Order: sequence, then C-alpha cells, then structure tokens
Amino acid sequence: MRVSLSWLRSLVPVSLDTPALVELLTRAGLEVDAIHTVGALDPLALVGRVVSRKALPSATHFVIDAGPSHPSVSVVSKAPNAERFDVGATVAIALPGATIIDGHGDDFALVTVASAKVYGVQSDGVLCSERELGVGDDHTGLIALATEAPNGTALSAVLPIPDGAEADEVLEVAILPNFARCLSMVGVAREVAALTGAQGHYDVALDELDVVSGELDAQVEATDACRRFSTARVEGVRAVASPRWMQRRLALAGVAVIDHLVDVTNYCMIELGQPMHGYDLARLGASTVGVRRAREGEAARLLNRADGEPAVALPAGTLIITAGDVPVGVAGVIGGSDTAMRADTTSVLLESACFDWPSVRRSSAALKVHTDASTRFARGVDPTLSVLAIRRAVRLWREWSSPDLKVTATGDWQRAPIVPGVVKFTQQGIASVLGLEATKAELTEALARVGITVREAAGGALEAVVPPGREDVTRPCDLAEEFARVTGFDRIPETMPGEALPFHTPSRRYTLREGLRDALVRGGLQELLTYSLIAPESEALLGAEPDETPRLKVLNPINVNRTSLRRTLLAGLMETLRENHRHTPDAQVFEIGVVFLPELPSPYGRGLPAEKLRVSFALTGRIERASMHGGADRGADLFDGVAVVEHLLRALRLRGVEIVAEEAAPYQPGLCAALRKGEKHYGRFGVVHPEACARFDMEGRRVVAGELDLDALLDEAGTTFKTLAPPRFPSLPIDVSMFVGRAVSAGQVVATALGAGGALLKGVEVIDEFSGAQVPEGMRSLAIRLELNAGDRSLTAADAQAVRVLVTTALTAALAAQVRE
Amino acid sequence: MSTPDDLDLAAQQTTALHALDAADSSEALEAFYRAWLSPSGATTRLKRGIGRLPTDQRAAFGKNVNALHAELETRFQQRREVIKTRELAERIAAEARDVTLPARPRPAGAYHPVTLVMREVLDVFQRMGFSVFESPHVETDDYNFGLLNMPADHPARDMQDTFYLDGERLLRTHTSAGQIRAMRELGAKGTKPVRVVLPGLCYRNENITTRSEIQFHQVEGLLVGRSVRMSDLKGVLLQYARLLFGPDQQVRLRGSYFPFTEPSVEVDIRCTLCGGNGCRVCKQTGWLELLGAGMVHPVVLANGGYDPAEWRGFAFGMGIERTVLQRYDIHDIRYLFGNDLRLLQQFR
Repeated sequence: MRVSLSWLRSLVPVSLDTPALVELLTRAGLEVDAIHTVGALDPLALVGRVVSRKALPSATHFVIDAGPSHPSVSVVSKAPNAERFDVGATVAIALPGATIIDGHGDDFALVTVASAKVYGVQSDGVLCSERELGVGDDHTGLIALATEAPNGTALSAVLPIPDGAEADEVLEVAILPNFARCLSMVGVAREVAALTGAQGHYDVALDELDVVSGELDAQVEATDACRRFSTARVEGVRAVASPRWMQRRLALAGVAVIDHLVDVTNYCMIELGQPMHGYDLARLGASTVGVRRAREGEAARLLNRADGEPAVALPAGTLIITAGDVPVGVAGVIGGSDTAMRADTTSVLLESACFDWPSVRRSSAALKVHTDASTRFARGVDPTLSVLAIRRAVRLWREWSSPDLKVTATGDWQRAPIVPGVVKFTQQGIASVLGLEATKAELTEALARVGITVREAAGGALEAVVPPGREDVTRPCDLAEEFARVTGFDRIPETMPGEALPFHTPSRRYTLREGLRDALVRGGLQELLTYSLIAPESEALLGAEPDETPRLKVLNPINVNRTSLRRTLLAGLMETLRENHRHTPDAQVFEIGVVFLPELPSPYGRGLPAEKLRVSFALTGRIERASMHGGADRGADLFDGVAVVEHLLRALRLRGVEIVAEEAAPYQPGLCAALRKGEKHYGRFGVVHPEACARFDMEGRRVVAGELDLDALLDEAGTTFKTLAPPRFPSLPIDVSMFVGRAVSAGQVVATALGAGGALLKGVEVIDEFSGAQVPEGMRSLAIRLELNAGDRSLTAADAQAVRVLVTTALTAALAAQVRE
Repeated sequence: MSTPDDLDLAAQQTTALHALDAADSSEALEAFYRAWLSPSGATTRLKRGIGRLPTDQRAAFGKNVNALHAELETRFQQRREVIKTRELAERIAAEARDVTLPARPRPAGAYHPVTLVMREVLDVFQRMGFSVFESPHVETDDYNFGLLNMPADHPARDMQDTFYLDGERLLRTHTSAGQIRAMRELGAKGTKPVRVVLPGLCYRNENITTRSEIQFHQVEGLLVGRSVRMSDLKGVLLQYARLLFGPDQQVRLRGSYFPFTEPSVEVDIRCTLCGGNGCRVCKQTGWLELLGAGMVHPVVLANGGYDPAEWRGFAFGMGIERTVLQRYDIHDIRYLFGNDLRLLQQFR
C-alpha cells in the first residue's frame, strides 16, 4: 500500500516527522518497506549554481556545481528563461534518479530523471521549474531561488513547501494479512490516529442518495460466497479527465489514471478500501447484475486483455458477475471488457459488494489474475463500506464531471444483518498473557482508540464490542495484541518463565550425528550442504538405480534442475566436483543429509516418504602434495576411501563392521566395497566408474566416493567403550609370509589368523602384498605381522612358535595358503 | 698420535696436554680419551710399566701417574664442556631457517558456514534448557498449514510459496510444521510442559537470486507451560541475544502477524555492526530483525493437545542464512548451496 503523506495529513493531523512516523507504523505492525519522494522533497533535488553557460541552437548548456559530490554536472535546459541564469546564479537541479512532476500539459504525471543526450550534448539532470518541483503552478521557466545555502543542499531544506503542494513523500507500507483494513487511506489514517491519539477527520463527506425511482433487485445466487451486494444505477454521467488533485493521488498510489468515471471507482477503493465496478448500462444488456458460480464451459472477455482477444475460459465454480445470466466479470477480481465504462458512457450500474475471501482467492489463483480489487477481497473487506462507497462515488462524479447525474435505482442485498462482534474477556487474562499490569481503564481507553468498545458483562467479566471491519479480532488474545500494539510493546517487561519446565535432554541421534560431522572435518574433509531437490537425470548419471525407481517430484518446480527429492547425496557431491574441478582440482568433501525414499514407510505415517539420513563423501585430485620441503604428489585412491570409512567407523565407536568386496554402480568393478555386519548392509564406497565420471563431465578424473546409511550406523553406534590397560611387557611381532589364491581376500586372511591364534595373539596386520614372477600362477603373496602379548609375563620362543603353528595351520587348512618359511 | 712409552712423566704430561689442546671437536676429544684415559690408554699402560722401576721408586711413581691421570681427566672434562657448548652453538646457527618460507602441506577440513551458525544458535538454546526436536522435511498440508491455524485459502498462505508433491504432501515451508508434532509427542496429551528448539531445512518456491533461495535453515523455538507470558518470550530472547551477541544487547518487539501466534511480534536486536548508531546494514534504524515470534495461538495449542484455558506458550522462528551472510560478509546467498569450494575452503 502506497501512502501519500500529504493525502494522509488531509485525513489525520500528523505532528511527527517522516522518520518518526515510519518508526511508529513499523512498530505497530505496519512495516514501511520504502519511502518514495517526489519533487522538492526528493533527496536528489539540490541547490546548485551555474559554473558555465553556453547557448545551443534551441536550448542552453549549463555546467552546474551541485555540491562536493556533484561539482560539475552537465545539463541541457530548454527553459525559455535559461539565458537569465548567469554564471554564479542559483538553480534547482534534479539529479538522475530523482522523481519530479511532468511540467507539460494539465495532466499529472511523474518523471524519473535520467541521463540523456540532448542535441548531442550529455545532460545529467534537470533544471527545474516550480511545477516540476511540486511547489507551485509556474512552468514558464526555471525557478529562481533566493538562498545562500551551499551547493548540494537538499531543496527541501531551503524551499518553502506550501500546503497542498504536489511535492510529496509516499510510504510503501507492507500490509500483513490481518491488516486488511489498512489497504485504504482511511484505514491507515485511523491507525495513525489510534497510535498518536490524534483526532482524525476521515468521515469523508457522504451524501444520502436521492434515488429518483425504483429498487434494483440483485440476483444473488451464490449466497455462500457473497455477504453483501450493493448496486446503484446512475444516469447522466460524463467521462472527462479527472481533476489534477485526483490524478495526483491516484498516480502516487500507483493506480493508472483513465477518466473520471473509472478514476472515481479506483479513488474510492484507495480512499475507503471498497473495490467497486462500474458497468456501462448501454452495453450491459440488462438492468441489473447478479452473482453466481460459473457453469462448465463458460467464458468471458476480461479487462486485462486487449480488445479483440478471445474470451477466457472460466473454471466451473468460479464466482462470477452476470447480466441476464451472461458472465460479465469475475467477482471481486476483474470486470469484463464488453460491458466496461468507456469514453461515451452516460449511464452506469455501480456494483459495490462484499465477497467472502476464499472464493476470490480461488478465482484469482485459477485465472492468475491479481488486481487491486482481488488483493483487498482476498484479505477481507469491511462489509459496512459498500453503500458508503457508492455514495462517495456519486458525490465525486457530481462534483466534477457530472453535476446533473441522477441515481435512478439502488439495491442492497445482505446475507445476514451486519452486527458487531462481541468478545468476552477478563482484565487479568489480558494482563497475564502479556506479563504486565493493565487497569480496566487503561484497557478500555486503548481499545477505544482502535474502535473497540469495552463494557461490563454479567459476573464481573468484560465484553469487547468489535466493529464489523475488524473481523481479525475474535478472541481475548486478539484483544491483548491490540492493547499491546496501541500502548507499545515496550511496556512489556523482560522476565524468565516462572514454572518448572523440562531441562535440555540431549538426543542420541543429534549428538552422534554432530560428533560424526566433527570427526569428518577433523579428518580433513570439507563439509557441503547441497540441494534436497535435484533432477532425476542427474541422479541417473550415476547409473546406480533403474529409471523407473519411484521418485517424489514437486508439482511446481522452480527449474529443470530442481524437480525431484533426492534419493542419494552422491549426485549432489558429483555435481559439486563438476562445478569446482577446473579451478579447485583437489577436493575432499562430505555431506550429511537426508534422502527421500517413497517406497519405504515413514515413522510419521500418513503417506509421507521415508527420510533416511546418509553420509556421503568424495575425494578427488591430490591427497598428498609435493612442496618445496619435499614429498610427492599422490592422487586419491581406493585406500584413501578405506581410510575415510575406517575413520568414520572409529568416530562412531562401531565394532565388528566388515569391509567386503562388492560390485555395484556407480563404482568401478574390483574397486568397490560394502560395509556389512552380519545381515546388515550399511552402504558402499569405492572408485567411481570412469564412465560415470565422464557422464559428470569429469572424463579422466579419478573420484573416490561412498555413501553410507547413517540411520543404521547410528543405531549401532556406541557412545562409550572399555579401554585395555597398556601391556606391562613388550609385545612380540612374528611375520608370516604366504601365497594365497587370488580369490582369497586379505580380510579373510586376517580374520582366519585372528580366529586361530589363541589368547596370546592380540593383533594381525597385513604388511605386504605382491604379485610377480616368483608367485605361483593364480596366487599372490601376502605377508602378515602377528602381535603377541601375554600380558603378565615375557614371551618365550616356544610361545611364538606355538602361535605361529596355530595360525599357519589354520591358514593352510581354511584358505589353502602356502606358508613360506 | 704417538704415545711415549718411556717413563718420563713430565714429558708424558707435556705431550698429553698438547694433544688435548689440539683436540678441537667431539671426535678429536673422543680420540684423546681413547689414547690417554681409557682402560687401554697411555695412563693405564704407564701404571703397568711400574714393574720396570726399582722398588723404591714405585710408590712415588704410582702416585705421580695417578696425579697425572686425575689432572688429564679434569682437563679433559673442562675441554669437553667448552667444545660441547661451542658445537651446540654452531649447530643451532647452522640449523636456522627462514620462518617465512611456506608450510608443509597439511590436510584441513572445514564446516559449512551454515553449520557453524546453526550450531552456535542451538548451543545457546540448549544451554538455556531447550531440547532439540527434529521433524520431517516432507509434511502434510495439515501439519504445515491447517493445524497451525491456516486452513485452505487462508490469506496467510500468500506469505509463503510452497512446493507441493501432490494435493496433500508438501515440502515444509517453515520449521513451525514441527510444533504440533513436538506438542503431541512430548506434551503427554496436554499434561506436560514443553521446551524445545526445532532446527531444520525449509523450502520455498521462490526465484533463486542473490537474496533468496529455494531452501534455507530455520530454528523454531516452542515453550508451553501453564503460566507462560509474553514477557517471558522477551526475557528468553534477550538472554539468547546477550549470550550470542554480547552482554549489552537489547531486544525490541514490533507488532506483526503470524496465523499461529497471537499476539505476534517481530523481534529486533541492536544492530551488531554499528551498535545501534545506524548504518547501511540496519538501514539507519539501529536495529536488526532477529526473528518472528508470538504467543502460541489457542487453536494451535488445542491442536497440540492442550486446553488453551489452562495452558499457554510462546514460539519463535528464525532463519540461519541471513546471519551467515551478515556475519561473514557474503553478498550472494547462492554461494551457500552452490558450494563454490573457493568460498567454502576459506572456513578452514
């Protein structure tokens, strides 16, 4: 809502300066998003002095000193009196970006100053007349300023701005859904009066209608969606240009100026908040209009389309206005173009209604048409306004364009009598919800300022009588808000809750998850947060799931890359590497986040998808780097992936999870592993298949990645564990070398050795692997180191030999290993 | 080194002392020790040579050899101290490096900046007694809107552009969607108070620009009790602001509107950049918007299982990304989920 301050002041006296008014409105819930300035009040309208002057064929080229920030502004002026401004003369200059008033013609229009070439000369401003600055009517030449103020001084500081001046400030006020009443100048004025205690005079002169004859019988069929429907037939009107003051107010409110017939209906809407529509009776083909829901297949030509365009289909059920059962407009949204008021209109049917907001919201959304009218109806219009607005319109027409008009018939259908609301409350209830003291007198006074009357009810309770325009106030908490708004939220003290409340209880899942995040960062990985929405095509590049995998797609995606909820974090990580690898070729990244699996049940039920927590990582480029101090570059490989996975398992205190070979996309066969514990599968990692890398535009780049089911891992994770006392006697290492078949994994060798070695065997480590000429066909050589410790004594050669025999026997028997002595 | 094996101790002494003076390094000293003082050295051999002397000279000779050994031992120790000190000084001088040369590479990870701020916020609220409660990203229309006093076609739905999966399911537009779940799960059918924060990712169908994104993180706070007042909301948020932004912080309430709270307020804090004097960041007002808040609407309390005549609550909700942008002077929100590593790695 654009609020012209000069218009506002005509409705309520405002003694505050603009910043204080802005602050007051903002604190009461009417947040001012921007302040627009016009003419002499624009901060870019400055005092300047002529530095040089040169005559052009039909204009004058000036260089103006407009203060330290603009010491030399080149301006071309076509003003007839320009030659009278010598070097040193004082001028009013509007710099690019300033809003001034068009000086030509009788109509009011705003102009935004811009740099331009005029007669081939650069012009970076406008030297202004009285009229352009909005401080007078003169547009015969540049305004002469009698001021000693230095160059660059704001004109508003030196130029007297008379009452009724066109120079103005316009506040752009954000109207929250429960402030529908403030979608009007009178509504904002009432609010200012309530907040400042000023006495407003917004009872705009309203004539009783002297109806010449007859009643209009509105045909309101859709009584469920229409609360009031007022009409008037007005004959003898003329479509002429509106008075300049009205054009000005409409222009500042952001409404297009058309002609007086249309302008008045718009003016009443801005002034009072009541949208109205005028139909040309000659074009209407009926003596009155009605309201009903559209039937299947109906259409209408609407005012938002150019003449001659085809009719727009009206979805069945849309609330429409009809004339003789023919659709002539969408109720509360937009009128039809065939029946609109035109330049030749002389008789008008005025419609001023109160539609219920759900219908208007649905029509507006279905037709994708949003108008000043629909904005107001969608939030609720005061049902008491409809007839007032008709009277106001008739009076305005009569005063300017149509002194001889006659109101020949009126109608006013109401669904039910419009009565004030009553809210029962107690003084203590209001005070205790806010946490402050409030006497009954204070409450009564504060609520009276917003038009709410407090009266005694039976049994010591109080009743608030709420005017029909305030249907947002239905409960005691609404009264508490009004009281706090009017008296200031500052009055509320700062306290701490005075009752026993639950203490912070750590959640296991949260604690473990965040601990894992810490561990991965400590381990040298960069955390990412990618989008939950992704293109299925991008996930398909991994080749890990068939195309027909169920996916959750949004009905209204923002673009083609963000259409579906992700089923994996890996695609997001691969996309990130793709976007970064040209400038950041070395990257070690991870993400902890949820994926969405519609085929699995959700603990929340109600058809919601399973949301599974995953942890995913990707390594690419160098993981070790050469430097001037030595060392060598080394690219990430499978075993860096193993390191990340083992780091992660250690951080979660997970025991007994095995890394086993598996083959699955998107990983390269032979370089892929899974994490398992018995029947449980926690996910996979490995070297991403070269073809998958290529599909992500990273041909030739090696990426080691993995994705694990973090929900499952967290279920198994331990928060504590038992330590072992450090051994008092030194451990004894024994190395065992062997040939084993290629199908035998190092993991099997270690597990077999550990299982067979007995109580003295504390650990087994693989220390070497090779294949070559000396190794029998189909086998490879592995060396393991056994760590022996008895705990309470030194080990003997006999101990070592005994363990060695146990281990080698088992390896030979279980894995057909050929142990080398 | 030649070792005189005659028994002229004076000559031996002269020779030895020359040799000691000539020893100029730890290695040379070591050689001197072996030649003169070790069990196989000259003084030992002199002692063995005692048998070649007439009996009456033996006692004196023995005494003199011992004296010679003792003197050489003392001098050797002194000399060794000097050389050790000198050699350490030389080594230290030789090892000196230019400390401004580059470091050896060392892997370093980093948190995403959203995590950093989210953690800080949650940490403060947890210290103030709030528990973390998490709820799903995909919600029903009911939990996100209906049960929060926003029935279908409600004007407040204009405030949020929603991603829908179908007529019923949507991506939550705010963490308020978890309020009802928290009350129902923790409130024991409206018999127990609740004090929780609900962090999480939310989604809005908005154009992606430098200032707006389709996903962002929120933290919602919810406190339900029998005597909760709006002044408690103000006090708790003041405490939060002071713990997070400094002990002199102030809060200011402004009227606002949310369908699920009544009264509703916006809560501002003193501008963290200018301290309240007015600057570009606070648009010269001296105040920064912290969050939206209010007293839980009776309809919402009832939907959460509480009798609004007996119970009251307050709720607040704040965005995390705006603080991230302000704190780290990031001018484009798209960096946050666009994951440009050149930006993120600055957090190492």
